[in-house]
Amino acid sequence: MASSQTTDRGTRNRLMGTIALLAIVLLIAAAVGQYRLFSYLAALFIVANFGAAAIERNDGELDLAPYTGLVAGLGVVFVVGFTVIWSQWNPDVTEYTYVLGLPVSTLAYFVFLWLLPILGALYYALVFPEIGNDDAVDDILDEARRVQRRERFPLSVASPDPDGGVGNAEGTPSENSASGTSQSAAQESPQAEGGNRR
Amino acid sequence: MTPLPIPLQEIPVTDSPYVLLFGGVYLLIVLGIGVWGYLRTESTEDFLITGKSIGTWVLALTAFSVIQSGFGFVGGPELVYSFGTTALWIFFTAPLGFIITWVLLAKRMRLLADIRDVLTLADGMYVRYESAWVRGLTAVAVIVGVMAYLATNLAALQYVMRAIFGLSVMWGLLIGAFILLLYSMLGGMIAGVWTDFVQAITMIFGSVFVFAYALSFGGGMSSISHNLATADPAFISPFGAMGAPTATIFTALGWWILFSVGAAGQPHLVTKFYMSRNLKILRWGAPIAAATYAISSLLAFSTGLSMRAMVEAGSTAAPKSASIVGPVFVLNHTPGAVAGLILAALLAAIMSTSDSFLNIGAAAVSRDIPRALGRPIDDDKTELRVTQAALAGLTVASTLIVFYSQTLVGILGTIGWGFFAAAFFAIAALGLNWKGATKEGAIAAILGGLAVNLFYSAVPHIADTAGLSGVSDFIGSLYPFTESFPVGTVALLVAIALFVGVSLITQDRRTVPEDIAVLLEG
Repeated sequence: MASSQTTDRGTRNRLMGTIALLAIVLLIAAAVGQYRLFSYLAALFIVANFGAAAIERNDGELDLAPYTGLVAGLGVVFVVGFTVIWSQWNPDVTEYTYVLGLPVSTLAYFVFLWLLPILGALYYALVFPEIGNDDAVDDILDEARRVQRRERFPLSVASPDPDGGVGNAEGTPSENSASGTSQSAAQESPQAEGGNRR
Repeated sequence: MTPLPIPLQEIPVTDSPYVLLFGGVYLLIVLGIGVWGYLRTESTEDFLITGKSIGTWVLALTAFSVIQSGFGFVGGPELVYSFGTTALWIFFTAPLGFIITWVLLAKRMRLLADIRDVLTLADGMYVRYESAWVRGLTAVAVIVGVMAYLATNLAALQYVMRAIFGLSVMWGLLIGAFILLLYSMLGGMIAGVWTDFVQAITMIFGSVFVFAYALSFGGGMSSISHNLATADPAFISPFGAMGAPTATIFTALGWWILFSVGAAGQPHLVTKFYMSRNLKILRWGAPIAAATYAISSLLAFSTGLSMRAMVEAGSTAAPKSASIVGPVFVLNHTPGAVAGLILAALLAAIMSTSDSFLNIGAAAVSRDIPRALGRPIDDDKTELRVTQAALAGLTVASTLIVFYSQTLVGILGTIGWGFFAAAFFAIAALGLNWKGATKEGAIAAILGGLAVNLFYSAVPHIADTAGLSGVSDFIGSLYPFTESFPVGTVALLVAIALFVGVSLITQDRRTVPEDIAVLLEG
């Protein structure tokens, strides 16, 4: 078990380390003036940050679900976009081939770096039930409240209850909790210490 | 998005009855919403996060509105007119920023508000890192950024009030600030999100009209492109004509990173997730915010390029200043009703963005700083009143800065989007998705991001103002990138590297609160 947790943490750390490394390499690429390299690295950096949303969800495996399609899709459109741009344009170009009233390279920017990525928002909405369904939310909130019944945390919503239930300062269920179940409004305790884990 | 360009003095005072009508109606609506919000505000939670009451459309459009500030209507056309397509790497990138923000933070922050009693970004960072230092630094960074944005927005507000109502600049500032103060202090965030909603609707419709008129004015996209290419092929290239070609490419790509990834570090945007009625509300927020922003960005794109194309073709006179291209276009080349709608939208954009900043700034003063110092205000009613008083104080302070010191406004103007992105992206967006993040990493990221921003942006400006041009030249010589490469991007990348690096070094000694770990794994 401990070995598995260490492996999981190592995988997550490597993913985050990759993002940090990309940030440093981007700074170096900018400093030495490698703009083509910088463009692809920037694309990779942006896509990698999307991947960060999944690193704690999948038990340490390199599994970006449910955002695999989003990461892959954005990666493809960014690479295609920059490849078209760099194949059609460089700083010395003064004559253009026009399509739909725009130079082809500029049209590639419009299509691949502006319009198609917006579809990523639609992708998010479509996979949302996988991360935001009632069962998933209830599991998170129930588990969090179970922990809070055992330990006291600063700004904790649930407070220990002698009956084993969740105390509620108002005595009524909150209509505005994500799960719709009851909450309480315990006072912040700067001294409070709770159970922690990695 | 970034602070408004200053000055806007040259926006002509219009005698169009439509402009007066739309501007007047907007202010009445705002005051009405303020009173309505007041009647619904009973607690600090109501005041700061609407009591978690807002639905899909209001959430999406308030997110749109706080990002599409007056800059999109004034600074946007100015940049496009001056440099061609370079500026599109700001406006056309913003929709991607919404997606990143939603993916990384929407669920995490909304559930965090159920698991812990968090009302501000600093609250959220405090419970994540269990550090009063992280909370205090977050609050200080919020206050500095808020003062900067407020000063630049109020500086713009005075000229927009003059253009619409024919007031003197001084009365434009005082009356505009008073109305902003009144509805913000009375109605809190409940009023804020609904005025954002009104602003968004106004902007979206106005942008569609203006886009059609601008394309028609320029003779269609093909004609616009050919006229621009004849004057300077770089204008219509993928990266524009901001300067030397290599520098321009790096500027554009730097903005691409900053305005996509950096969106998830904007406190006035990410705290909106606390406000949704429930988690399901978040599902369609990203598509709505991204699509509406994409539509509204057509205004800056079309007016800037169209005006420049026609000026280059000799078909119209060049405006006195590039900073007034947008307002001049709508006043001179669209019907009075459209011009009225757009100027009302500009007024709305400035006021609604200012309102959001006032809200988070006041919370930082009344809630975050006292709690970071171990002196929380325990009584909710007292905390609410102190928050309202802090809001009034911030408004008065910003008004006095604008009234007495253009120099200070200029210095504050160097602090903007990149400041927040560097300070908060790593600690919030990455920290709420990675259990390995530590408070040491968070502190290093905040301080590193602030230091880079202040050293390369604010200090040279201060030195120049003080007549110490040698100092600013020296600092410039230490900048290893092309001059126009955004400092905010550098700060953001440095902050991310520090955050991850320091966290990796220190994480063996640190753990995550168990209930927060449940959230991060979910």
